[in-house]
Amino acid sequence: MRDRKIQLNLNGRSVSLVAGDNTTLLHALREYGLTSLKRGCEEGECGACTVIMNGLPEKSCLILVAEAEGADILTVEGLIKDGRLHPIQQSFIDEGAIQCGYCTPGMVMTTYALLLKNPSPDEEEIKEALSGNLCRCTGYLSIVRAVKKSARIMAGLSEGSE
Amino acid sequence: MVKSGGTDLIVWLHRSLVNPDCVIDLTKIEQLKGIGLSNGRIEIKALATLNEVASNPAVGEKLPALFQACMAHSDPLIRNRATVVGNVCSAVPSGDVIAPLLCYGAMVEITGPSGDRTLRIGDFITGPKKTALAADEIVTAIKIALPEGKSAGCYIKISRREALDIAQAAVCCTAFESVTREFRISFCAVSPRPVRATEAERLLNGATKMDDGIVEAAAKLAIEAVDPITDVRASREYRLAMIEELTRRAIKSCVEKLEAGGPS
Repeated sequence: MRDRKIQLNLNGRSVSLVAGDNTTLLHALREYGLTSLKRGCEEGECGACTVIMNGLPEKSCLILVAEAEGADILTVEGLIKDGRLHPIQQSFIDEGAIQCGYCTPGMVMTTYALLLKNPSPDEEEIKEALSGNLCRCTGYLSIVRAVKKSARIMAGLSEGSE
Repeated sequence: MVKSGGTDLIVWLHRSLVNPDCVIDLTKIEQLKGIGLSNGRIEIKALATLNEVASNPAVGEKLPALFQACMAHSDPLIRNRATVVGNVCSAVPSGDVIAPLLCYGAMVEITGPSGDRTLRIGDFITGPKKTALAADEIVTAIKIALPEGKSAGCYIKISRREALDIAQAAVCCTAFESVTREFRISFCAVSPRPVRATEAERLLNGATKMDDGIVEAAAKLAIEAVDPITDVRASREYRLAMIEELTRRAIKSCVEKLEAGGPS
C-alpha cells in the first residue's frame, strides 16, 4: 500500500498529511493530532467521528483520506476561537448534554452543520438532524435542549454583531 | 473494485469481507456528478448522493416513492455520501432505492471498453450482491421517464428504528393514470432479487371499482410474489405478515392521493 501526500484545508489552515491509500480520514486526522474525532464503530453507525466536509456533516470513518484532497474540513478543534469554547460546546456543558463525552464531538459538529443550514430548527428538525449520531448515556433530551440553547445564543450573537 | 460513495465498500474493507487488489475511486470524475433533466427524463448520475436526489424538485414532485425511499435510507450524514447508483450496484436485497426504481421503470446505463449498453433495473440485479455488470464496466447513470399526467407513489418501510436501520420489510406502490389506471408494486428485503407483484397488479388494474375487497385480495396476492428469509432482523413469517399489511396501506395511500386530485 503506497503512502500519499494529501493537501487539505483543515480548520481554516492549509495542511498536508502523509497517509496510506487505504487510510480513512478518521485515522489520518487522529494521527495528525486531532483527537476530538472519536473512533467508535468505524462502520458509519455511531457518528462519533463526524466532521464537516465542504459544508456537509459526514462520517469520517466512511471516507478514504485521498478523497479529502483539496477539501475544507472542520472539526471541534476549529470551533474554538482564542481559547474560548464555541456557544454549541458551552451549551452542551450547560445543559448536561455530556456524560461519558464520547459522542459529544460528533453531536457538536452535526449541530454546527444543522444551525448553519437552519438557524432556528424545531424539535423534530433537531431530532432528524441528529438521528445519525448515537448517544448511550443521556437519552438525548439534554442534547436536544443544548441544540435549542445553541440556536438561541448564536441568533443573539449574530443580531449583536449587526 | 470500483467505488462511488463508498459507504458499503469501506465497511466491507474494514470487516475484511472483500480484499481487492485495488480500489478505483470515481468521486473526482466531474462527468459522473449531478442530476440531469431533459425530454421528460431524469438522469441520476453515478455520483449523485441520496440527499441530492431527495432534494431534487422533479423527484419530490414526480417520483414521491423514490423520494421516500431515499429519506428512509440510513441517516442524514450517510445520505450526504451514499449514492443511488452505488446502492443499485451493491444490489443488496434490503437496498431501499431499488423497489421504487423498479416501479418507475428505471434504466441502468453502463459503459466499458466494449461500448455502452442499457439494462432494465430488474435485469441488472441478478441476485443478492450480484449484478450483470462485467468487471471492466461501470454504471454511469440511472434514467427514469417522469410520469406524465396524474400519478401517485409511496414507499413504506418497517425497521426497529427509524434512522440507521435496515428494512425488515418494505413495500413500494405506484399508480399512473392515463386512459386506464396502472398500479405497480415492488418490495424490499423479502426476495433475493427485485420482484414485482404482477398478479396483485393485474387484479388492481382490472378492477372497475376500488373497494376494500379488491385491496384485501391484492394484499393477499402480494405475498405470493415474495420469498423472504429468516435472519437476525426478522423471521420469514413476520415478513410475510408485514408484506400483506404494508401492501394494503400502500395501495390505499396511492388511491387516496389519486382521488384527492392534484395536477393532471
